[in-house]
Amino acid sequence: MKLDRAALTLMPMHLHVDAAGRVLSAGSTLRRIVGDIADFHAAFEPVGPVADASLPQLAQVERVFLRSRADPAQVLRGRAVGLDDGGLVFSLGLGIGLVETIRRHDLTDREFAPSDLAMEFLFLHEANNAMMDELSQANLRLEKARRRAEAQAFTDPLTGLNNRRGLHLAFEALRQGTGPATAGQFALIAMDLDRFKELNDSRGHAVGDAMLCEVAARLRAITRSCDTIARTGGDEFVLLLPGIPDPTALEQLGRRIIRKIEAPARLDGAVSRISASLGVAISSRYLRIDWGRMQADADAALYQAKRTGRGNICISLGDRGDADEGQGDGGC
Amino acid sequence: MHGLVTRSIEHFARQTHGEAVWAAAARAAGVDPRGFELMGNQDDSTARRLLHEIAALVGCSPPELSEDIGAWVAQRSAIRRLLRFAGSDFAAFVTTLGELRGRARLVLRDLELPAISVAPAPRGWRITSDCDAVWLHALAGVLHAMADDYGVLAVIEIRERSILVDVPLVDFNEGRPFSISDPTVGAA
Repeated sequence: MKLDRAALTLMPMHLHVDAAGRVLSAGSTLRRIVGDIADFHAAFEPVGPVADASLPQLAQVERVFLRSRADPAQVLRGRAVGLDDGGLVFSLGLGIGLVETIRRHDLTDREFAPSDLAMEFLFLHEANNAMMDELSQANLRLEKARRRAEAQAFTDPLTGLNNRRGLHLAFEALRQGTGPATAGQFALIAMDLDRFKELNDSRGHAVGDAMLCEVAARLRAITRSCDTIARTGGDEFVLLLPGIPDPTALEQLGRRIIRKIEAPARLDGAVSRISASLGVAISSRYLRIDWGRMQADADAALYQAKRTGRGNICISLGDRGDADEGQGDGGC
Repeated sequence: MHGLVTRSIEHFARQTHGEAVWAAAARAAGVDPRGFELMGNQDDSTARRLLHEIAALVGCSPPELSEDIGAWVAQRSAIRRLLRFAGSDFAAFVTTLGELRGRARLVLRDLELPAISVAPAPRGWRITSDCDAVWLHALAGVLHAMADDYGVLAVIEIRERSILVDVPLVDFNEGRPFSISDPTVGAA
């Protein structure tokens, strides 16, 4: 094959060597990447699927990979054709290392032949990154919106406590042992305010609402961060307390809660007093932990406590029989 | 209309004319004032209504507004970089505008930009497209911004259905620096 010098001017990544490997001409972009080279064997180490790295052999393979000896991170790929005089012409390219090479040598689009798709590749690379940035920002926005919506869905807007949904979620977490306390046992306390209706009737809903917020604040103050407090209805609250299986300790805690709520509250310039009744269900008293069952038992215990007078606490016997409430250990 | 286009209108309104203008225009156009998501598509009339409402609020004509939007979009650093990939000087940029549609499709297959053809004219080019006038004005805005970016003094005007680009001074100033590989070069 004969060499057409005119064709070489179209190829900024060409390399023309004689039979001995002396460099006769190298494209302008190739020189920017590997520097001014005089000898093929000194400049390059053929890598990849070649049996031996002799020049005639390189002209036989489909694809040639040349590693720069001066800069081993730089691998060029291309193809070679043998010439009648024993020389070789390589048409080389940057392959997949394109982006990295352009960055390292600060190449511009003038360095590539217009027929080369290098710039389109770079354009795509850049566009792809820009789109990924946009998408991940959009994702973050949606994620934030989702969290906000979730928080709202699980929160009582008046007191900021959990609502029934939030409570159920916390209960499920405890039941499955993914909750804050891993001990596995927990207590469910149903609480209901005494004399709240009178307060609401005599001083108006605004004061009633302020009292509910005051109760929420006092409950927060008396409980731990791992406890769950929920407002499940008008003046009904539920507490989930992990890791307290002992009825005596629970009764003491319950009495403290009641005392705390009975403390006078200054609302809208006047002092009001209310009280609370508590019904307790303890997870260790059940063979099978069931949301509906424990809630119903805590409610029944609460009803029992109310029957015995205001400001009282009653603990359900659980599987050992609801009929015996108020008897046995715990009780009212 | 691709979500990118309506989102560009939204972001332009919010950043250049303020949240109040955006909120008022969105309400008047029957669009959620919280804004568009990136990948949601809207029908073309939504974008048109928005353009009209914003234009009315800021006291300009819809064509003027879409020219402003075109220039604003071309100056967003990511878009500006992608546009600069088209060529190393303003002449290369303009003469390859015919590829813009293909480039856009390469990135987002459902982003439909109008077909553009470029012909030489004395001291510049004549750019024609059978697209809507709104697009043509937006493209004129892009050309304004990119002429500044390349540091070229160009007179750009719309006559009938084409844009005339007249370049009395090729090397007007340095333009904004640009590097293919380094996004921080010339970044705002």
